Amino acid sequence: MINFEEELKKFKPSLEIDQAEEAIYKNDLRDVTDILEDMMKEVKIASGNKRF
Amino acid sequence: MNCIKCNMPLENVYVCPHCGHVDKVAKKIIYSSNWHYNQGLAKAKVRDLSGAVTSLSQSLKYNKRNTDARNLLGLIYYQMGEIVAALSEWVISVHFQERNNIAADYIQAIQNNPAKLKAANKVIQKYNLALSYMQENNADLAIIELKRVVNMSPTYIRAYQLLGLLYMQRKQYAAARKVLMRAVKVDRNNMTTLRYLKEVNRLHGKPEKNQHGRKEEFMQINDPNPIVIEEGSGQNYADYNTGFLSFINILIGIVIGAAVIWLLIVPSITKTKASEYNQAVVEYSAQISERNKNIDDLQNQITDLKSQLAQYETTASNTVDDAGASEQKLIEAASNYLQQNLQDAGMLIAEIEPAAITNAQEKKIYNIIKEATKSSVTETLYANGKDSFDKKDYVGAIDGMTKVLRMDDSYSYAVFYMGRSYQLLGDTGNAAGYYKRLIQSYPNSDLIDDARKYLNQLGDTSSIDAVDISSSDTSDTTDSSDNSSDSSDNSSDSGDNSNDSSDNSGDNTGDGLSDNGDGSGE
Repeated sequence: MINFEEELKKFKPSLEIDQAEEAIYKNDLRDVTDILEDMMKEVKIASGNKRF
Repeated sequence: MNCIKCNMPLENVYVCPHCGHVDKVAKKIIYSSNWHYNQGLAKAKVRDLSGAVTSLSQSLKYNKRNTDARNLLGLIYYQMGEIVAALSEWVISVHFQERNNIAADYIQAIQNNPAKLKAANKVIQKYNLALSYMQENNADLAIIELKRVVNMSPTYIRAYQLLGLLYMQRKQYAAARKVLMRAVKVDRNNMTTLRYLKEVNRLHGKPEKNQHGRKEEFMQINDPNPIVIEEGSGQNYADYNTGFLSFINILIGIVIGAAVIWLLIVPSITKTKASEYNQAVVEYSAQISERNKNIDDLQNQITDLKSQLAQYETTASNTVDDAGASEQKLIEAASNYLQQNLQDAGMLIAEIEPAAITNAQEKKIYNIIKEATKSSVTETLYANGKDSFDKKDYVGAIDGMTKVLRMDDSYSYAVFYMGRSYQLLGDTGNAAGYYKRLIQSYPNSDLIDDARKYLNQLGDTSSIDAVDISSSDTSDTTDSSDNSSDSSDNSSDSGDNSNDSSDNSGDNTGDGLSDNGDGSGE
């Protein structure tokens, strides 16, 4: 059973052409490699803290 | 990500280009990304656009530098009507790989076609306008705008979905199903679309197929906003409210209007013109008839005038001839008179018609000769006339008696035989005139009783006047004084004549009685 009001709320306005730049900047470009790098950085930081 | 041995960056590769170290983690990441890319490509080929978007997004989550996956994702967004999303993906793709990147061509193609870009932007604006109408609880206007959106952009999935949802909300399930089926044609496995379709089928039941197992190519939807979906004619979404159909409707209206004008107004105009034409023909015919009548009248007048002219010419000719003959006779009479041949002179004078003499000198000569010869020729002329009467030559008798009366208008026997001759010729008018003349002018004549008797035989003669014998006389008033002595002479002559008449009465009476017997016998 569909709740029409809820379904209608899911529809959001589309971005117009002149808003494309904004959309590009808002795009989440983080991938698995970035996540791994972040994790490795955190691991390095954590290991460095243990040495000291 | 950098190489763990030489710390050189590894961009979209798992073998270090510097030291040749194979990074297993990077390899797994790139393989996973490629695997999802392949999945996305396979789904895109079977028009599972939503599934492809999911797979490609997953691929980019593994490897954001997977240019092929990003470019394909942009293409799929473009196919779904999400222009801005497509441009975003292509711009990012170019950002990661500036050279040998087809995304640059895609961007260039869009930028080189401003009209298409403007149309795409207009589609987005209308979609956003429909959303704003919905927020204002104005679903009718939202539906109208969404119809325009799907007409302008037949692959705009979100517009189909929203339109279908609005139809479902308005319980127009058939229309909702058609719209959603159209969305399914573009994107087969879109979860939202399938969910809506399932709900429509649950609420309204599944659509029936025709006998050939094929959906009808055109289907009329019985709702206030009718829609026609062309299932077999490609990509266009058709609607009765399209510009083309409006043009067709206007054209049909013009044709119907022209037909109405041709069938109703033109015959009326033609009838009016025919009536005016007939009326004009009648008027012109009347005018022509009147003109013809006038022409006939004028022709008759011309004929009458010609006949009158001919008559006048004949009369004038006769008058001239008579005048010439009378003058000739007068000259001959004058010649005989000068030669003392009074008998011949008198006979010629008696033949002259007094009215033919118009000259005063001639009249004077005529009267002199007439007075001089009257006594010598009257008896002879009477005898000739009587002889003609006895021979039943009544015309000759009239001529003879006329000569007698010319010479002596008081000769009562000549008057009587004039009446008898006319009566025997059947000219009752002249006969009655002479009888009346005799009765009125010669009441003591011994022929008076006979005259009355014959007058009674003629019947009703009350309208006939007595013949005026003296009217033909040529006695000129100017000569009255000159002729006074002649008149006295004439009176004595008349006395002689009366004596002569008395002398002749016995014979004439006897003749008259015998003639009466002949006349009655005739």
